[in-house]
Amino acid sequence: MDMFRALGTHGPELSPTMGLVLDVLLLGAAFWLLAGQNRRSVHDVVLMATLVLSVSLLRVVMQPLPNIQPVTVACLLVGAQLGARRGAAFAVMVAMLSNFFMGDGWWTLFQAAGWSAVAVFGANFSLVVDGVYNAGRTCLAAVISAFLFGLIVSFSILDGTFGAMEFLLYLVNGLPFDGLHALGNLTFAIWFGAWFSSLLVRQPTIEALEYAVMDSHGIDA
Amino acid sequence: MDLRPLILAALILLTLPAVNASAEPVAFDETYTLDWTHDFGGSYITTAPLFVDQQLFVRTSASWGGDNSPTLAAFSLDGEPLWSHTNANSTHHDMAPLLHVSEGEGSCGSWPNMLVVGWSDGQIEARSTEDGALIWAHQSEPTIWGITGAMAVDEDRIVAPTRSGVVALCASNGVLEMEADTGLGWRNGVAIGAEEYFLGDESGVLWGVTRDGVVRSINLGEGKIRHAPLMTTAGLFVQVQGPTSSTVHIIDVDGFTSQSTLRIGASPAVPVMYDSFVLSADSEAIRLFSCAVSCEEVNRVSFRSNGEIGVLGEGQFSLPYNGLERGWGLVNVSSSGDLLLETFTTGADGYATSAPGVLTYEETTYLAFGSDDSVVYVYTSNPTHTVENIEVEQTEFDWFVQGMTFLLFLSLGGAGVQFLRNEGTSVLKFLSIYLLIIALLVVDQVAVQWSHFIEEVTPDADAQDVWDPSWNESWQGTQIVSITIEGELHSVGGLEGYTNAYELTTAACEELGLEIRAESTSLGTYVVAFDGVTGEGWEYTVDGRLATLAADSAMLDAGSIVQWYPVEAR
Repeated sequence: MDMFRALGTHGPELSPTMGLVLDVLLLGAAFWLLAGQNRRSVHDVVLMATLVLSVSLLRVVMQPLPNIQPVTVACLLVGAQLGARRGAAFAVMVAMLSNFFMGDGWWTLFQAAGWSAVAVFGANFSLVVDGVYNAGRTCLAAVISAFLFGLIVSFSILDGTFGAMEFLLYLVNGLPFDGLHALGNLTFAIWFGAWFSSLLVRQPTIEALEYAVMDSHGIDA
Repeated sequence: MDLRPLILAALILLTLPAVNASAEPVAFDETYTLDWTHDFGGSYITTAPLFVDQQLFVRTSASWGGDNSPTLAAFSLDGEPLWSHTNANSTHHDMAPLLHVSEGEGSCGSWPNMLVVGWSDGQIEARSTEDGALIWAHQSEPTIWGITGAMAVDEDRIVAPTRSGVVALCASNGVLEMEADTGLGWRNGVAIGAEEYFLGDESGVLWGVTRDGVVRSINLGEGKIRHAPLMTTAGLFVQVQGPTSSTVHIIDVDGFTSQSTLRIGASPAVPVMYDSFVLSADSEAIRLFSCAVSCEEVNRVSFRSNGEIGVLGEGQFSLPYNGLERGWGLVNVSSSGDLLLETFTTGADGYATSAPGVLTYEETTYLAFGSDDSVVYVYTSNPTHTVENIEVEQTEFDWFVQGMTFLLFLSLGGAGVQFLRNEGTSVLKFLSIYLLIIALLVVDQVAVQWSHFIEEVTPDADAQDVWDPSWNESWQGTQIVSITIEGELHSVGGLEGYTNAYELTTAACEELGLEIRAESTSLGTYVVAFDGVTGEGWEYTVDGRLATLAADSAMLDAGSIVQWYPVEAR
């Protein structure tokens, strides 16, 4: 079967079978990232589901504005507050869900990878230290993330016919739109960074609270 | 010192341009009322009525089956007929614009205030504006037609395009001072250059004739030149009318060569100049060209006009819609190249081709519209308005731009308020939105300019690398287009003078008999389909390099090879 039917500006156009395989791969990756040794609370699951739905919806709604990507800052902060694994899972699910409305294809893989990289970057850039949100570092990271995401998504154009020089020209040509992405990220970070970050602060479970109380009072259970 | 009020004032000043832009427009109907009309009966008005001092001159044509002889008539401003003259011998298209010549004197004598009229029987007459008395006449040789193009004044000479050449007549007595043969012309007005007279003909040849009759020419390809060339700083602006589309050539006067070409629609109107802009129209659109250094189309708006364009005032033009649907267009051109169109109706609507005449006298503006039914309609402005007060209203409300403008106000105002409250972080918030909106508004243009810059600084590819052995050797060094449609290669070469990939491709499609469908976007023109085949989209290479710009933004060399492929074939 001809799984890659044709080559396009976003890379190969996917046959239905290959599209299914890609979706299963992405879902599997998200599941693997979320499934850890620790049992997730209902709160965690609901929070993640709400975040994925709302950020996906926001992306779809903001589609008419060229390269304004609210998902990037969201991934950055989810990575910073919930960790790289859950940040990457969030990125994969948002890419899949929003592209279900905006158009699925080969590029979904690269968008998922790009936003996952942003989440990992957010988890390691000290945006939140000891529970304190650092607005300045978040703004800086938001700007850098735009170019990181742009670079990773651009790899989707490579189909064997592009030389290194052509790929470089392709990247350089896209800089004005990467700049717009960065400015959009900066605006989101300035306006909503602190608020969104506070939403993601880990809420302790009842068991954890009881344990903390008992531990601090030295009560022998 | 507290600087906050000062900075707030500066922020408010920044909003002033937007305040001006959103001023309440005054529509044509609110400004003008119909004052009087005159029906010439059974003929046509195909060239602009002309106001001179406090008189209105109208000429009619009887060449499309009308019963009445073509007439030149004078009226007072309140519609009283003053004098008229008919020419029963002029039986063809009388569309040479009336030429007013103020009294003066030169080496061959003096002349009074007069009106020069060219007739389709070849007669050129100078008549007194006062009573229509004949001052002098010159008979040129008609070949079916005689004089149909715009004449011009060159110091003490009247320069007229005849059917087969050009003549220069003494303004005092009409004595022939120079005569030169060119090609057969129609509506081919003459332009006065520093050293030469310029005019075109029906074979697409542009002629340059010195004051003593030495002739040179350049063939601009198949087509007809039906207007007086315009002397822009970028070169001579010449439209060559083709069967389905037309081409603008920018001519280097010194070398008499075509420097660049631009594609326009079918049956172009007589273009006019405004500062460094040229306003033209055709069956597709009204187009604005910027011709400061080189000519490029900077704006267009959909309309159909194929005749004359009237200059109403500074940056304000009016032109007839060649059809029944839309009456007349009122166009405002801003100094930055914005093009705003309002349409309005008069009694003179429907297939008109003549521009309106305009006069401002004692704070009243007079507009005279000539109809295809040979009725002249004279409108006067209401006392509270002058022509300068007319603002045009965009035919379509642009919600995106209006919304963005509103948000700009909001964000700038918010920043100002927060600044006064000493809320530094909030100032940043509002300013970030302000910057983002501006970035959204300019990103398309920035991206196009940036891509141009990238193209300029990167080394050119070698066209030889993409040479197809099946191509004709005579195409070497010329512009070539190949289009692969459903696996079949269509190629044409030997093309010359096209400046961008879209123009070249359009010309190639004409040669190959292929239909091309394109889409105009803020980033440029993109080809959607060749011969109805859309596929996954179309992309192209220039000299083997994948293009990153819209086709009309990709500049070409004399030997460029443009190759089109469906995206799925890459």
